[in-house]
Formats: sequence, C-alpha cells, structure tokens
Amino acid sequence: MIGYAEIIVQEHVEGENIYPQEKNELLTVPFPLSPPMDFPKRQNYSGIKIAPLSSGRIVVSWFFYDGTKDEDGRPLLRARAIIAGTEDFPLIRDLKILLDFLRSKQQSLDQLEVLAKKKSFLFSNIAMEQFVRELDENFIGRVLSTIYSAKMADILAPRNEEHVLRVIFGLLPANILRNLSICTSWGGFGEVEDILISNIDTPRKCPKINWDKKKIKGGTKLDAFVTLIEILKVDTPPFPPTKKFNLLNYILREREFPEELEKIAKTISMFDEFRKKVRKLK
Amino acid sequence: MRRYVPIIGTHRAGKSYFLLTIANFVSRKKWGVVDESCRPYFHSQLEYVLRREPLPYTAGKIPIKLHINMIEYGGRIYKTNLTLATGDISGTEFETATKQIGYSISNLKDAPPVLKKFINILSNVDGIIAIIDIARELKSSINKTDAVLKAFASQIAPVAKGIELAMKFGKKMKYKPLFFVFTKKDIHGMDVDEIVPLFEKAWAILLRALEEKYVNIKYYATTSVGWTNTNYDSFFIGQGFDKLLYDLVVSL
Repeated sequence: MIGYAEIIVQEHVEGENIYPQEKNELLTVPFPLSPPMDFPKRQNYSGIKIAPLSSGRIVVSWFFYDGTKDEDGRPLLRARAIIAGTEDFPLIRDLKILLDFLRSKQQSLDQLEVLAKKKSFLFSNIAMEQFVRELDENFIGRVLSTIYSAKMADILAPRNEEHVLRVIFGLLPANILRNLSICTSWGGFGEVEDILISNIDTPRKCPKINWDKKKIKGGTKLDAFVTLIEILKVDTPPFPPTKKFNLLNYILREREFPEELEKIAKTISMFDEFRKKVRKLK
Repeated sequence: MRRYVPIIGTHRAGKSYFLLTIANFVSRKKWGVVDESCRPYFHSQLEYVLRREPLPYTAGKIPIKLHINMIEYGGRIYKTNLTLATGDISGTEFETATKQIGYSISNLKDAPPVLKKFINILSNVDGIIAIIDIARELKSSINKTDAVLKAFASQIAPVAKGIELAMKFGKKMKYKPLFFVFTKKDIHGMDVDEIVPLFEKAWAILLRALEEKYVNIKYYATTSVGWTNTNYDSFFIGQGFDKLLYDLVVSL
C-alpha cells in the first residue's frame, strides 16, 4: 500500500495511507537535515530526499519553498511525498515518473500506478532500453559498489542531480535502499544524509564521487554490479529488459536463481556469472 | 579540556537564538572564540538577526564548539581552558524522539533512527541546558500564571523524558549541571524568582528524582533578542548571561 503526504516542515502532515507512527517522523524526515540557511532567498529552491521511516517503509519526497511561514514569521519548507514499503518499490523505482507525479500535484495514487505501469523502466521495455543505453557499466558499477560497501558517499553532480538519483535509486538493491538516506541539498554545515548528491563537497570522511569526471576517491569495485549493468545493456533473449531486471533483482536478493531461469540454458552463462559474483557480496 | 553540554528543548523554544547570543557574547567579551567549524553557521544566522528577521527553523543537529579561556563574574576572573561542545538540535526531532521512547527503549538496536540519534546525543553528556519557552501561551491565557502553566504543559513531557534519557544512558549526573533557561523574557517579563515556584510545583516529580542523584540544578531567565540595538554590556550582564556562563564553567 503506497502512502501520499503533503507536509509543512515541523508543522503539519496530511495525506492518505500513512501509519500513525509515521506521522511525527514525516514532520522532519522528508526534508534536508541541513538545508541552506538562505533557502528563502534562493529562487525556486527545491530538492529530493529519500529516507527510511521506523515503520520499515521509505519516504521519497520533493521539497520546495513557496513563501510559507509559521506564526512567528519563520520561513518553512513544504514537501509532497510518497511513502512505500519494499513490496511497492517496482511502482516507484523510476524516479522520473515519481517526480513528475509529485510535482504535478493533481494526480491520484491510482494514476501513479497507471503511469508507472505504462511508462516506468520496470514495466516498459522501451523505457528500460533508453534508461540503460547511456550507462557506463564500469563507472556505474563502481558507484553502486561504493554505495553498497560504504553506505555513505558525497556525489558531486552540479548539473544533473536528478539523473544521478534516478540511476542510483533505480539500480541499488532494495535492502540497501531501505536503510539509506539520500538528499540533493546541503547547507554547508551540520548533519548530512548518508548519500549527498549536490555541488558541495562535505568535510566528512567518506567516498567522493565526481559524476562528470567519472572519478571515485575511496571507492570500491564489486564485480557483481558491473555485470549487472552489462547484462542489462546486452540483448538476452528470451528475456525482455524489464523481465531481465526483475530476474537480476531476484538473484541479488536471494543469491539464487528462480526456477524458470534454471531451465533456460541459452543465456544461463551470463546470469550464472552474475550469481557467482552476487554470492561474494558481503 | 572538552566538555559536552547539549541544549535541549521543544521546537520554537529559542535554542538557536540562545546559542547565537552566547557565542556572540563570549566573542565580544574576548572570553573565548567560536570554533572554525561552526562559524559559518553563525555568520549565516547573523544575516537574519541584523535584518530583524526571524531565524529559519533548525533541521538536524548543528555541532557547535566554543573555546573558552576565561569568565568574569562579580568582579572575579576565572581562567580556564574549556571547549564547550554543544549543538543546535531540531526541537521537532527531539519531540519525535521522546514520543518514541516508550516502545523501544529496552532494545536500542531496533530503536527508530530519530530516537537512536538522540540516545547518542544524550549519552556521555557532562551537563544539560534545557530551554523552556514560557511565553508561548501568553496570548491565549487569562493571566501570567495560567500562561506559564499552559506552556509547561506542552513542554514537560518531552523535556523531562529527554533528561530521563540522559540519566539512563549517559554518564552519572552527580554534581553535573542541569540548567533550566526560561527564554523570551522580553515577552513574559518575569524574573527567575517569579517563575521558579511555579516550575518547582509543576515539575516536582522530575526535580525530586534529580535531587536524589545530586544533580546541580540552576535556573535563569533570559532574552536573546535586543542585543543588536541596546547597550551591549548592560544587556548581557542584565540578562545574567555572565552568571550562566560562570556557573557552567566552574561546574564542568
């Protein structure tokens, strides 16, 4: 069951399919831990945050400033957010669809489901082909490996935060996503989310990823993630891209093949190679 | 010597302004220096203060470090070499954490993320400053006593639970400072002597438990607003900021 919330930071939460214990957390969690102090003066300040809730679900929010103030005149951020459990991940994995939904405001949760099943790379082969075509398996494989191992990173991506987030959110295993906080905004001091995608380098000790230069400092390379992208990019009949993505996720989660894959000898070598590498993941 | 004294309180209690005021006072009196790591935070806040605009809300936790070399109070100079580590903590997150205490306090590993964060903040403290806003109900009350009691009503549960959390998971609080600061004196206009009798009645259960543990409890009534346009020294001394700092430094 997917939830939806409209929130004024620290003040008000309303929406549908929200668990009672999530209400208090939603007052703060969907917003940056340290927004820039001058956000009211920035033109169209907005960003994206993904974070776990104590209910076990995650919240994906689009936060923004529209001039809202509290009774003391303090400027306050607003957010529109989706709350989802891992069983709902397929419907929210394509961040492009999700952000269009959150920004448009007018649509219902049912419409999100319809839209996701029509256009998301998890359901549309054309969308999946477009999504993976541009991916550099070596670099993206290392980015995913680094996040998987360190659970923390600063990603310098000044012009394309949303694209970076779409790749990471689209490809990381669900059990990792469920425990990570990710944000596209940081004010230059104070707490930082586990993964920060912005134009600022924090002083903390963690892997540093320069997206444009394809450089990673303090990173890791796990073969399983490179192979994951390789398999997504090559043509592997009889699996259309979306079916293939589901199989890869199954292997990542279970570290085993589903029965139907065992029966298909033709493409098994590549998947078998992936399975062996997944088994090495700690 | 580094001492860790978090500042706790509900949201809109005045924690950020209080910290900025202390940092400004210590710097101006040349009693110490604000650590490089948190100076940008104060510089950004000053943009708002000098324009007479309200500070933006505090989101997560901003670590603050003040290096204090000396304090002057009552004509006496007390030399020290103290790094006062504290933090500007989101009041809303603090309230959320204290609401989560009941169902997960026994198993820290599975505690919700916000509660886990506050247990980390409140463990190993060398003292606590609790900020209480007694002015928030003035408009909707029949008189000042009524307003103060109503204000206590909305703050007693989170603040008391936060203090209990520190007592449970932190170092022993014997002789450690626990200072209650009643902010926004510019609005409520009450002195400590007027507030404390009401406070002692309403907070008796917590206070008795703290006395049993020999916690060093003190009270202050301050305002953080106004130092930019009044006589600087008389403002701070009049507010008792020098006494608060002196009491804090000698008890750490």
